[in-house]
Amino acid sequence: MGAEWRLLNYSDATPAKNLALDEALMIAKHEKALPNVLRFWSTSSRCITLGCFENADYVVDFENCRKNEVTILRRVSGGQVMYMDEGNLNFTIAIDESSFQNAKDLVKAIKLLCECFSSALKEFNMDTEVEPYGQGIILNDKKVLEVGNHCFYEQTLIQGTVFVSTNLRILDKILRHKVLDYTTLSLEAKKPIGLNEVARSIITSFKNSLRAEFKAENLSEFETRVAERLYKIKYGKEGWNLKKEWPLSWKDVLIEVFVAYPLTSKCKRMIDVVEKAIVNLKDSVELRVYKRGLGIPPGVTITRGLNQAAKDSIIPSIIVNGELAFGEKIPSEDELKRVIVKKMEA
Amino acid sequence: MNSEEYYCIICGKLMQSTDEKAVCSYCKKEEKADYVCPDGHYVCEECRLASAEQLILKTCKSSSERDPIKLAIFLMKHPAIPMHGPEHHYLVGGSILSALKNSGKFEIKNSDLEGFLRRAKKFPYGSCGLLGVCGAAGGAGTAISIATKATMMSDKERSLAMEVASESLKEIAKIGGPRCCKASTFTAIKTTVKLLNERLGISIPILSPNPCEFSKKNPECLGKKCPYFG
Repeated sequence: MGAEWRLLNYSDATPAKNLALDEALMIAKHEKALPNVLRFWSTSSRCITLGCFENADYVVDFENCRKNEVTILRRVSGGQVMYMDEGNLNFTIAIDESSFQNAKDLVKAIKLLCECFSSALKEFNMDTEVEPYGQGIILNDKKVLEVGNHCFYEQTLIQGTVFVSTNLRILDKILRHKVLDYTTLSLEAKKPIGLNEVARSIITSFKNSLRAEFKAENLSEFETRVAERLYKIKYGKEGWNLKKEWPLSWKDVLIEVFVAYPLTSKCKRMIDVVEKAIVNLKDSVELRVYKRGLGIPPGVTITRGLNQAAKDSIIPSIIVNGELAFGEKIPSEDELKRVIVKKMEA
Repeated sequence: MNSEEYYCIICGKLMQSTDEKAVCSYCKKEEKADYVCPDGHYVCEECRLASAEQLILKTCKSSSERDPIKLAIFLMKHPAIPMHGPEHHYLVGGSILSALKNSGKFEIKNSDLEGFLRRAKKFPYGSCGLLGVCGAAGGAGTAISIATKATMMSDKERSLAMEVASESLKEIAKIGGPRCCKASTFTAIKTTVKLLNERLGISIPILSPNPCEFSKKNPECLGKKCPYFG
C-alpha cells in the first residue's frame, strides 16, 4: 500500500455533515481517481452512528438519546453502532481495492488496516487485539476502537472511531444489546490522552507499516458540493437516519441503461442518445450503464425499474429515477431530455 | 463511444473486433460480426438481446449437440440465464429434448420444442420450496412426456414421465438447500439419462459437470455440500 495519501483534518460542527463528507470523499475518489485518503474528525455534540443495515429501535434507546441529547444518525458503512462525543477520535479511510495487494480479500485487508491502528496504540503501552473479522480492536476484553466498511465500485470506505476519553456512562445508557463492554485509552492509561496524540500515532503507524506518504490537503470544491448535496437529501433526513431510506442517487436524476454484453449496435445507439442528452446536465444527472450478465458493482443498488427490465428481458432499455422510460425503442434526444427535465422539476 | 474490451461469454477469452462474417454459436445464423473470440465463438446481435425463452428455443432447435449436460452448461453461460430462476425449468427439458433429437432416438420437431416450452413455463418461480416440486425435475418429466407423446391416457409413457420427474425430485431433495438451480439442472439431466438407459435401453453419453464452473460466480454456492462442487 506504499503510495501518496491525502491527509484531511476537517471536522464540521454538525455531526451529520461529517458523515455526508465521508461518502463525498468516496464518490470523489471514484469519479476523479484521487489518491487514498485518511481523514480525522471530532465532534463536540453527542451522536450515535448506526451501521447502514441496523434497525434503530433494536440497537438504540430512543428515550435515553433524547434525555442525553444524543443525535441518532446513520453512516453508509456497515458494522455496529458507534457512539461518539468529544472524547472520540473519528477516522475515515477511502482506499482503492488495488491497494490490497498483500491481502487477498476484503476481511484480510481491513484486518491489515486494524493492525496499523493496533500498532499505533502500542505507543500508549496498550497491548490490543484485532477482532477476527476486523470489526475493531479490543483491549482487556473491551472494545476500544470500532470499524465499519463499505465497498463502492473499486473503492472501500472505512469509517471508525477510537474511544480516547469517551463518556462511557452515556454510551451505556444509549446502546442496547452490547456484544462487548467498552473502554477508553485514557481509562486504561490512567491518565488523560489527547485526540491529537492518537492521530499522530496513527499517522506514524501508517507510514511505517504501509509505507504511506501523507500530504495534508483541504477539501476540494467537488467534495464540498457533493457533501452538501448528500446532507440535504440523505444525512440530514429522518428517512435515512431512522428508516434506512436510500436516495436513488446523490444527483437529481438517475438514468440506468440496461444493455447487452457485448454491446449490440442498438445498445450503442441507445447509450449514444443518452450521453448526448445529458452532456450539459452532468451535474444533475447520474448515468449508470449495466451490461446484462456482468452483475452489479459493489455498493450500488439497482432500482425497481431496472430489476423489472432485467426480469422481462427488455433490452436495451432506459430507466429514469427507477421507472422504465424507454424499452427497446430508441428515443430521440429531445424525447429523453423532456423526461429528464420533468424528473428534475418534480 | 470509447472502444471497450469484451470477453467471450462462452470461453472467457478476449474477443477480437472483426467485420468478417461469423456463425452465431447459439442460433447458427450467419451474419457480419463485430466481436469474435479466438476460438471462433460468436453471439449474434439477436441472441445477445434475446430473452431466456427465446434463447433456449432458438438454441435447442438449431443445436446439433447430443450431450444434454454440455448443452445446458452452454445455455447457462449466456447472460439471459441468471444464476437461479424459473428459466432453468425449461432449460433442463429443452436440453434433454434437443440431445434426444440429435441422437436420433426420438423424432422431435420444432413444434414439439415449442409445445414443451409452453408447458414447462407453468412451473412457477420458487416452486421447489413453495410447492414441493422443483421446476427442473418437472421440466425433465415434461420433456419425457413430449418425447414419448404421453398424455393422461397413456400407460408406460405416462409412468416414465412421472418416474423421471419423481426420481429427479428425490435426487434434488437429497442435495439440500438453499436452492441451487445449477445443481438441480445437473441432477435432473443426469437422473433422466440414467432412467432412459434403465427403462428404454437408450444410452446418452454425458459430460460430468464436476467441478461446477458457476460456483465462483454464485454468492450462495452450497460449497462442499453440493455434489458438483470441486
